[in-house]
Amino acid sequence: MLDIGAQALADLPYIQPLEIENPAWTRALKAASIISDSSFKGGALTLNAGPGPVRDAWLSYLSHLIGDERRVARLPGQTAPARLEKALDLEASLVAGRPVYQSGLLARNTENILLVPMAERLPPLLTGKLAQAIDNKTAPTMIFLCEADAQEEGVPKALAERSAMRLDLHTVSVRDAAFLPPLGKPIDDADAIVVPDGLLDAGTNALEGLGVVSARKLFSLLQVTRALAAMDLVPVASISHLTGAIELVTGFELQAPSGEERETEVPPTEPQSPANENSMDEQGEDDSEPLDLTALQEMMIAAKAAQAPTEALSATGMQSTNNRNAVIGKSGANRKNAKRGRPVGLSRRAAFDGQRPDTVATLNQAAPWQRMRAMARGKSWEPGQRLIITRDDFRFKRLNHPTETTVIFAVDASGSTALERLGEAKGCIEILLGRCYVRRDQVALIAFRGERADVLLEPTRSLVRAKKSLASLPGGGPTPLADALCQSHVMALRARSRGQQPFLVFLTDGRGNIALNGEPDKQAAKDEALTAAKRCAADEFPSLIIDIARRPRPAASELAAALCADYCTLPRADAQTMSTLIGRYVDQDSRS
Amino acid sequence: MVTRMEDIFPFAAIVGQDELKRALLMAAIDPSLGGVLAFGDRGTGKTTAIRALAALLPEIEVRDGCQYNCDPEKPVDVCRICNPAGQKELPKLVRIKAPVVDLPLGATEDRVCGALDLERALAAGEKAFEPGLLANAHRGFLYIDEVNLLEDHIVDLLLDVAASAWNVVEREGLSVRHPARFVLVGSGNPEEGELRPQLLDRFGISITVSSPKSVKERVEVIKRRDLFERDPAEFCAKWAKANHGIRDSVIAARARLQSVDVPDEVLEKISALCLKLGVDGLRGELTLMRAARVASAMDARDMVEEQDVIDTAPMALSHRLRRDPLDDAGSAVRVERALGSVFGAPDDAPPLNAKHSQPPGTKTYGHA
Repeated sequence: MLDIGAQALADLPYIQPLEIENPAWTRALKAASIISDSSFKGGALTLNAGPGPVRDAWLSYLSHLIGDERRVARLPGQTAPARLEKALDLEASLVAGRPVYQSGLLARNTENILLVPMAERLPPLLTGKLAQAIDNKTAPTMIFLCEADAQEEGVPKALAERSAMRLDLHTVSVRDAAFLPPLGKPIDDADAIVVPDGLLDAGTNALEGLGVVSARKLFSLLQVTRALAAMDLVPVASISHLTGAIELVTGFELQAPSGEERETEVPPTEPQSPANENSMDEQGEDDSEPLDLTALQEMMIAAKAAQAPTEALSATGMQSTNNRNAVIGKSGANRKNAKRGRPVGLSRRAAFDGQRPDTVATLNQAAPWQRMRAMARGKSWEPGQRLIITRDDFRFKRLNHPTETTVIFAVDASGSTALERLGEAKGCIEILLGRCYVRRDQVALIAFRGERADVLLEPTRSLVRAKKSLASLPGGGPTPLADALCQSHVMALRARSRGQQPFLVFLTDGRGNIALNGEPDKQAAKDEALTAAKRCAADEFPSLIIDIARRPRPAASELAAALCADYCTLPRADAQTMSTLIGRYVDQDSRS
Repeated sequence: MVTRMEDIFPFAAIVGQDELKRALLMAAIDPSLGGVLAFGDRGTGKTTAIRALAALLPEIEVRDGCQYNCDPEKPVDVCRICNPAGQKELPKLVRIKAPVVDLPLGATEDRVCGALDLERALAAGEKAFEPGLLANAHRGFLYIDEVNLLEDHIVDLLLDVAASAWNVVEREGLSVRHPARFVLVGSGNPEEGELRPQLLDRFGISITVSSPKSVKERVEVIKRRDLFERDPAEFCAKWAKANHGIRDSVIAARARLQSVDVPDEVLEKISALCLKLGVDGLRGELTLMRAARVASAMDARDMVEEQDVIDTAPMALSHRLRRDPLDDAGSAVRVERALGSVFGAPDDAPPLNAKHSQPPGTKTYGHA
């Protein structure tokens, strides 16, 4: 048995472990034990953590756990999807003159653990293939490393859904991570663990409470519960295992209600090996009295209160950020090198890594040279002879697809006319979405009122979602214009990084009265708004300011000047007029 | 792509999801219905159900090694296995289960339709056709998870082939035509983007799948899945009888289908219903008629009754309704209303098809 704790400390000589363990880290180590167990059928784990010593410590713990026969292989994000499966090795085939195959990455690593770094940037094709492999059980155990924080897009939804566990190491410090317990015994026969029916019901209820209804997640919960019980060497799973499993599956921390003694609750902090006798005792207790589920319920309520509903949903990949959709085929803004779309011609260089040469064009190119090349090699040429193809012959298709546009609405929801205005903005969004079926544009909505600006609708092209999110819109209060500008800017940047063309539309009278810190300070609010606008203008986002004031004053046109935006007054901004106006801009965009 | 029989969850053991199961069986009985579109959240058993269905259906007979799943009676010209060169013997006949081909997101047109066989082109300089997924799916199912995220041009192509049952490849100097008769099954989550109405219309039937509502049912789902994972063989054996029962009913319904008649007055009702709902084109009416026929065949009747139409109308029509931005009512509700007026149900009667309509308050996906 290796003393990894000592080894990690040797790597980080100046760091003393903390006296108190960080539960997030304890949990992470348990997850490592579970995922490293080769009999665990769950398949995948999502690890949210930035690069750094904490992540490294976890990974090194994992690689010790899996022993010497297996190893942690990496699947880089730029892997050509074809490499996942058995495929013809073009170069080798040409050299050998017979088909030479390359075995796929997945097949080569069935026994190993496959590490997918930067999983949040995985291209859709790779995502689809991995998801399918997990479903077909042809994939090795996978770990998706995700460096995005909660605000950004995470692991593609299809993979988040198929991850049995979800860890977040953002709250773990280097000192926490210096604590590495000795390796426990490998998990033995987790399948034999009995999970009482009441426990299963409670777990199902609990997940539902957190907005998780997917059968895949429920099944993961069952498996993780079993694995945790197996680690404690008990034959029957108890409520503490279930709680631990809920935390691992959903990634939320459940807080034990204060003032109550819960020896069976919260991941036990003692090392696992001496826990044997204790847990048998606990087991005895569990048998003698019915499961105490009230504690779990209380924790669930606490967890729900702590987590805003949207956060709860987005974190498990159930809803919210539309990342899956957003990433589709937009990894590069450069549309000349598009991976999909209509063919626009041929080129001698691949537009992207892994592009398949256009066979016919290549053969056409090579054909006229055959006789000459054969003669150059001192052979005669006759029909039916093998072709001699050189590097110069390869031709690749160029594809072209039009840039997509994301229209970002920032709507002033303050003051008395807010409700009406929001209603019209909503109508306009629905009209635009209804129109963008074929064009595949996206629409987002930010409303600002009170202390800050809120993203009411993440960029989406789904009318269903828009209707759902826009069903109830808050209105009234002061005007945090500066925050609205900042938020729109961030969203626009994100859209651009996905290769979309953002288009900002502000419905405002240009008079903010809330500063960025949330305090009512007119002067600061104005200055900050102008600064934010200039910053936004520096990124050259096309934008439009619709002045909705009854009697337009210079504020809005000043803002437009700072933003380098087009300006128009539309005191009664109705949905139809707005959509026509915006449609004109958007259509122009797509043509250029 | 090849999975062992015991790896497949038995169709009969799927908890709930009656509408999904029924829709899939209907499509399996009469492939001419057109594809099935299942919209709903992730993890609701769509994938499980479609795989399970293929494992349950009667096996098909093909020649060993045939990539086109040719019918041994009428092999396709391009197939080199079923048309061996010279005096070579035909390979032996084998029985395989109906293929279910997964269409990966981002599959290229080459991969879907088939393309020049690169291997032979490069190694032997030979112009040969390498069949694609469409050929593999012949006489089986083509399953597209997340159909709403699929490239439009691929979806167009698939629907075209699905409707004509022939795949015609005229590109890269190849000219190939081979049959591709399959049931197209698409699934997706409407919150991640919708299908264009033109595409929606080309799917024969559409249904909305949601997670089981009760905790009891959900627990049952995982319990069965757990039993299955632990000992697939035993689990399948336990459900084999039920599975065979369903298979026999599919075979019986298929045999009966040809003899099912649709009375004129029912046809008139169907047309009236489609008019009432403003369904464009005749596809809606045709599908509804076929669906009603399948429904009566499943019920072992030779004559379509009004109730068959009432039962199948939501599936066949709800995705064809024109979107009305001002009407927030779900499309299922609109179909329901139209059914009420066409079939003249008294106001105090229970809903015509309580079995298939959504309970009030559930979220409606869709095509409203």
